Amino acid sequence: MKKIAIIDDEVQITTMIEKFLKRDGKYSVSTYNNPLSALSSLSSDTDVVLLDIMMPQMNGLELLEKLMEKYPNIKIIMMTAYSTLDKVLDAHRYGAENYIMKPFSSMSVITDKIEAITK
Amino acid sequence: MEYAFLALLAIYALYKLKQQSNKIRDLEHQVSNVYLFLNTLSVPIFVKDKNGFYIECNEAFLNIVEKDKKDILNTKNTDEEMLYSLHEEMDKELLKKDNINYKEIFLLKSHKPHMYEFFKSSLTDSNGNYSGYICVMIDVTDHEKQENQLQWEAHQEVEKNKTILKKHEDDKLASAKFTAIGQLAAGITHEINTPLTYIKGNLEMIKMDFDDLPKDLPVKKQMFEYVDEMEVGIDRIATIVSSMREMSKQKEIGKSRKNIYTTLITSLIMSYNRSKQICDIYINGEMFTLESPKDKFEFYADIQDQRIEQAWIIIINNALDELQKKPNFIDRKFNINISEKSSQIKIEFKDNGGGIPENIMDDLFEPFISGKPESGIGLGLSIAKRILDEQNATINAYNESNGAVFEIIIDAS
Repeated sequence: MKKIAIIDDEVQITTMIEKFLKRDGKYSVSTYNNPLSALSSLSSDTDVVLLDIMMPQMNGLELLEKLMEKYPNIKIIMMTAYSTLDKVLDAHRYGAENYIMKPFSSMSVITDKIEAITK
Repeated sequence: MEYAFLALLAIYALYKLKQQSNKIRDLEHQVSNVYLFLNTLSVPIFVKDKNGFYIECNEAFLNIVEKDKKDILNTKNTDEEMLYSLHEEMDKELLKKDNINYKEIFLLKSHKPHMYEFFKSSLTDSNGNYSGYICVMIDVTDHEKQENQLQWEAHQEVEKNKTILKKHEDDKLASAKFTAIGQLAAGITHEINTPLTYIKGNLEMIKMDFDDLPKDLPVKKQMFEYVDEMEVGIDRIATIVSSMREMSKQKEIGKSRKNIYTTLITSLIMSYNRSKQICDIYINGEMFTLESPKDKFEFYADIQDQRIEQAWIIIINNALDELQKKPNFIDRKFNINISEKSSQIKIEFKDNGGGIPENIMDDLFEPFISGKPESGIGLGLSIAKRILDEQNATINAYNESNGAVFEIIIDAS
């Protein structure tokens, strides 16, 4: 079972994605609404992290950099509700595998991207 | 030079007259002595006594007033002199000074006005008392015209520079406003997108749950319909926000290869809130809706998409302004066509809103030219043209079939 972590300061977003991913019982899901707690308690055997770009305390790009340093094998998908792709391009340079724009065109786009990078 | 010479000559005559005035008592006698001399001069000269009556004049003066000498002498004015009282007022100065000169229009009822410079010099009797004056008139009409022309040209130059300066200031202001609006839009976009994400996602999951309900449950179909309706609304919000996001991107420094058709669709989405109340818009023969795909056609050019979208919005809004004047929705037609030929992309905006007034057609893209006196200040199309110039595109406008056509040509890449 693939281990997925969702990091987003919006509880509604993490809850919704968690429920969606758990529907078919294919994924084990953990959620974090605080970037600092995610950095300290993320399990090292996590397969994919869904990481929001815009968060208080520490933005997604900083967290991405630290996660890549600490867990070089974890695949990271950025999520953004921001107006430009600039940050996504930066994220790609830091090592993010893919990105999803909010709102999601369809929930299945999440699973499609997870499956694509964990083949 | 000629005038100056004549004036000197006249002043010399005056000087001689004054010299004589000390020796000869009678003013009329003095004047008659120099009459022959005065007639040799081509500039009008006359002499008045202290009461303002003509007592002598030369042929040149008689020529300009078109009178016989006998009709003038011993009169105060030529009857046709319109500004007589003004001259009379100036003459009072001669009681205080020996010489005066001033420029004034010499206006006769039957002639075009001429501008003269009047050189007046007082005459005195043997006791040194003021007894009248002699006046030399120099026609300075052409000189004044040249001077006025020069002044007018200088004024025009100053006004032109002011307009350029104002345009720069307006540009800076517009740019600052656009940046502020862009930042605001980016913030709003982010804030709307976040709740939109979980509304949309949860709704999708509700549908998944409905789908798991038994097929024959009567309420199932109805619930699906409700959710579908909600999804249409949410998708519409998402589309508008997405376009707002595209429009609010920071100004790109360089150009890049972009699909012109996509920029047209984005602009139509941005204008939709207004256009839906005015008319249907057809793009390449198909009616535009919020669901119209953005990449149905591909016409690539090197452009700044965000800038060019602004130009499209201006042109679209202008057409909507004109179409709105037609009373019936059904009679309003607005077509946008995009095509490519010989590596050139042609975009046409055609409406049937009555066309561009002929009197502004030549200056249509100049600032402050407007066909909408009640509302327009005439900046929109000049901005659109400037944007299109930046993109190395050309824009032309003409009338066709009771409407206006704006044609833009841009090199394909």
